[in-house]
Amino acid sequence: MEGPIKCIFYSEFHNIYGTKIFYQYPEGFIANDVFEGFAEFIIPKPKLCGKVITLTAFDYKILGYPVLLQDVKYHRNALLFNLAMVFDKHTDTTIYHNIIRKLGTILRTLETETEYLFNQSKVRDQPDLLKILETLYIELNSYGESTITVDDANTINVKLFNKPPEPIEILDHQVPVLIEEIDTSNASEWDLTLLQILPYIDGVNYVSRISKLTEIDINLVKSCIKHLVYYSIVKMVDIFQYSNIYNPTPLIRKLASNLDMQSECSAFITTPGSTICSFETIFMLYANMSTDTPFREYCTENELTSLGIDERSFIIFGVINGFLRRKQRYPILNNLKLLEKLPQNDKKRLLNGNKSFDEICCILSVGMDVVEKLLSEIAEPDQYTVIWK
Amino acid sequence: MAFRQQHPIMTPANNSGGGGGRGGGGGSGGGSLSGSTESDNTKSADAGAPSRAGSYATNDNQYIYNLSSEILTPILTPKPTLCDMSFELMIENTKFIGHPTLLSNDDESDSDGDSGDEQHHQHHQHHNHHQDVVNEDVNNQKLTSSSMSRRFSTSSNKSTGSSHKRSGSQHKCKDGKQHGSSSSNSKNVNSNDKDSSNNSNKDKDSGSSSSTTKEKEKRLESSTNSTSSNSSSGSDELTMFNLLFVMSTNVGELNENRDNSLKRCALKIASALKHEQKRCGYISKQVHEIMLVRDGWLTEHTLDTGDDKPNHQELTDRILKKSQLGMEIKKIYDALNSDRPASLRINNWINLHLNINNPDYYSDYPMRPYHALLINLDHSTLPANTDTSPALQRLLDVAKPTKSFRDLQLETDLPLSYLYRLSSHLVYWGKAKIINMLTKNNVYVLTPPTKITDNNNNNNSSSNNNNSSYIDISNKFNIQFPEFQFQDILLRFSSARPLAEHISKFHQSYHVTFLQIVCWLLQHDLIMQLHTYIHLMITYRQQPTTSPNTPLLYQTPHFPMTPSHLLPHEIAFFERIDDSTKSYLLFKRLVPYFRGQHHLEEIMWRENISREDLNKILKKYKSVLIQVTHEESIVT
Repeated sequence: MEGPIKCIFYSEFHNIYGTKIFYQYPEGFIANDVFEGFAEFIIPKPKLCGKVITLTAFDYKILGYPVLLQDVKYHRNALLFNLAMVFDKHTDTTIYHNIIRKLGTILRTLETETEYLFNQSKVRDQPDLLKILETLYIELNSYGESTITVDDANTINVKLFNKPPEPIEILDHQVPVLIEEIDTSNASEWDLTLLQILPYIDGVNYVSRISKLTEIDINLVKSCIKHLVYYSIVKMVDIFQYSNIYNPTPLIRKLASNLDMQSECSAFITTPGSTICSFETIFMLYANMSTDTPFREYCTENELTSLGIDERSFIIFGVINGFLRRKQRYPILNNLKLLEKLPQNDKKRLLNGNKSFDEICCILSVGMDVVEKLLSEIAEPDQYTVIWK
Repeated sequence: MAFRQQHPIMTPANNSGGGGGRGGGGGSGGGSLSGSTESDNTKSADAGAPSRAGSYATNDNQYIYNLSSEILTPILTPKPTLCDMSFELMIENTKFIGHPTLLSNDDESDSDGDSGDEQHHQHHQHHNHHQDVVNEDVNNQKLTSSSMSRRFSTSSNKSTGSSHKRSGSQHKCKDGKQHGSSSSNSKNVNSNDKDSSNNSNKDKDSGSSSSTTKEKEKRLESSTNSTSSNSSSGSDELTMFNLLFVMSTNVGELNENRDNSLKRCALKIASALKHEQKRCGYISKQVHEIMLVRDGWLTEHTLDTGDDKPNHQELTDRILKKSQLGMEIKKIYDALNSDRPASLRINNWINLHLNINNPDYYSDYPMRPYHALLINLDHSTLPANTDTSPALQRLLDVAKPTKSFRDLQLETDLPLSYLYRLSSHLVYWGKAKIINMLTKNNVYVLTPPTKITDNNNNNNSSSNNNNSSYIDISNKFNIQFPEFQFQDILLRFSSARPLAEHISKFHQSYHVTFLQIVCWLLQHDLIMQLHTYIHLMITYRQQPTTSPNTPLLYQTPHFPMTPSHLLPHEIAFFERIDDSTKSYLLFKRLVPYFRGQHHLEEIMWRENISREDLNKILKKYKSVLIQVTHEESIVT
């Protein structure tokens, strides 16, 4: 059977023979003489116990979690063991860290409660370690999870989770857009806050406005939306403004070739009741955004509404699919040298040319209408330039 | 102070043997452990506080395991079976990459042979541990540190052995207390130092944004006997050494390319050091020197009983001043950590050039005759190595951003393929960039911030990520171009315009300087070029038949430069408009490039046509051709 785990073995420090593999599955995967080469990484110095240690050697990655148990009943008053897994050297083993740590902890619990490891040779009703290794090997490789009942009190439950993407930060001024339908017909299964928020996620309301409209604390709203983003039900976009400038990105090639995306686009951007205009027209309209004109002027030039296109949806579709990018405005102080001597948290540092107006509005918690005036005050006696990028 | 008790006494006396020392080290595990967690906290807090960008402060992705060196060193000096090959070890999220190297010696077996009471095969750990807090968001692949550990075997002959032993114990009586406290001191200093060096190094290094904070510290642990007593009987024999890169990794962030590059670097460094050690005992001498410095420093700190935190940065500075090896390690670390190639001369003898970028990487867009070589202005005084190939020198002499490779070929009389190879070489070592030849039609715009991070993730950017700090870059700009204002130039490139339009706004006398500015901006990745791509869009009455399992109208070719085929409804269109005129025939010839994959310059070069001819076609058939402008992209 082929799976990412090539071998699982249990190793212990033996009083006389030193570090040895006691059990391994599949049997004989690691020869004794090979093992000796890396034994010091399997049973390391006591202080390194309780840490996940990965060694890449001999074209394999060996992932282990050495455990130290101290008790007078053991030789040298300590039991040192490690349940380790062997992978191909190209495997990303970081997702196994939690599993290997959990297995080591469970074995330690078993040992302290029932002397499971100490009395491994004795006959009793718990499955022996080799059986556990075999089950883990087979089940983790085939199903990515494993459940083994060891005794009444202890069950091994492990499951492999792929790397969860980092939840993104939700900002006050961002607008959540539903990109997938949520079936809330069975309302009892859903989170109450979420149910209240959901009707307001319409691609227009921004986070702090949703909070105001629903009279729900903004942090609750944010955490709700964060969940939706995490499960890719919602995407965050900037507030749609007619003063914004948008540009096509190389991803526009995808729109040109993908028929599904084209029909999705036509359906999304057409105002209800209007006839859908040809895709060539739509594509040309997107292509025309190559010139750096504010969207308001662009709309007058191209008469989007008369073509039956909803201006807001037109932009949102492009932004969500990544083939339109908003050019942001960045204030930059005319005399940057001033900043050198200022402390990190000085307000003038907002004008370092790397903070967009959106960010600054959030940091200063003011609206777009007053921010420019505020920044002029901050910049005093100097002035600042606004660059677009 | 509390930390005095927290850390084990590392230095074992010779007469108790290596084992005893090790045992002592392990004994005080609990205290030391808590000490290290504590310093972890201070460290991450400290890393956040002085950060330039506020986002650093809230970054919880940094995991630093402040393991003390007597724990790490044994595990980083592996058995001979693991030596002379790449070494990769990960403890939790800290990765160590190195190349343990055996220094085989014939008389080693002898000294191993007579293992008397007096004779200990002892491991003197010497450890340079540089660590670094890395901002994973900004740059998820940076080296966090490089460290070096060595294994010594002390050999002394039998006759002097007893005296050696005696002197050792005397020494111990006399200095025992002092050394005891000093080593425990040093251990703690180790963690405290991270705070102080964080700041100071940061200040020094504020230019390179990639390393948010950096600490560097060297710690030496050795037997008091072999170093401080002048006993002639003891001689250090280096049997193996391992120079390691240490970095922190996040879950799911397997960066095999980076790791392989580092392994290659480690191998190079190890080979150079091995050679120098064999030639003149370079490592031994350097280690000895570093130990002396540290001992002096330790003594000072033991005498000084004040409550101030021991200044570990001072030790680092002193070592850097005294030791060439220390300086070399710092150089390598600084360069690789800021994505620059490192060039140094180990022990003034072996040239060493390291680069973390992968030479196997090929751009999807190959070099073209219409490209030009932009030589890094800051490196205008390229190291005129005597062994430089004359062809390379010739290329460097004549290359200009306004000269395409086609021009260069004529001028240097070198074949294009050779010019490409020379240029690739310069690009790989960060001395040059490949750009489109500067023409008045080129359109440039400020590089958007997202684009920069993309580049870094893909690890193809040779830039120093300069965009993140306009402060430094504007200083550089003002020195280079005092007649211009940096902000004004940025404003000019805020919207996409062809170069001709920019130039027309300047007085003629400034044109040359302005072009230099454009080059300078390109070099620093502050601006990028936008290209025009053409899409053929023909209305179809019914949905074109596509293969059932793909929604694609046409397949994007695997290699993006492959010309496309026409679809049935497009062929029908061409049959309809066939008027056998010259422009129709040219249109038909060019149509494979109208899938938005080839920009205008590429099409002109491929079909060997002039811009005028191409523009005529675009104008005549504009009802079915749509032009889009965006940057070149490696993403297809």
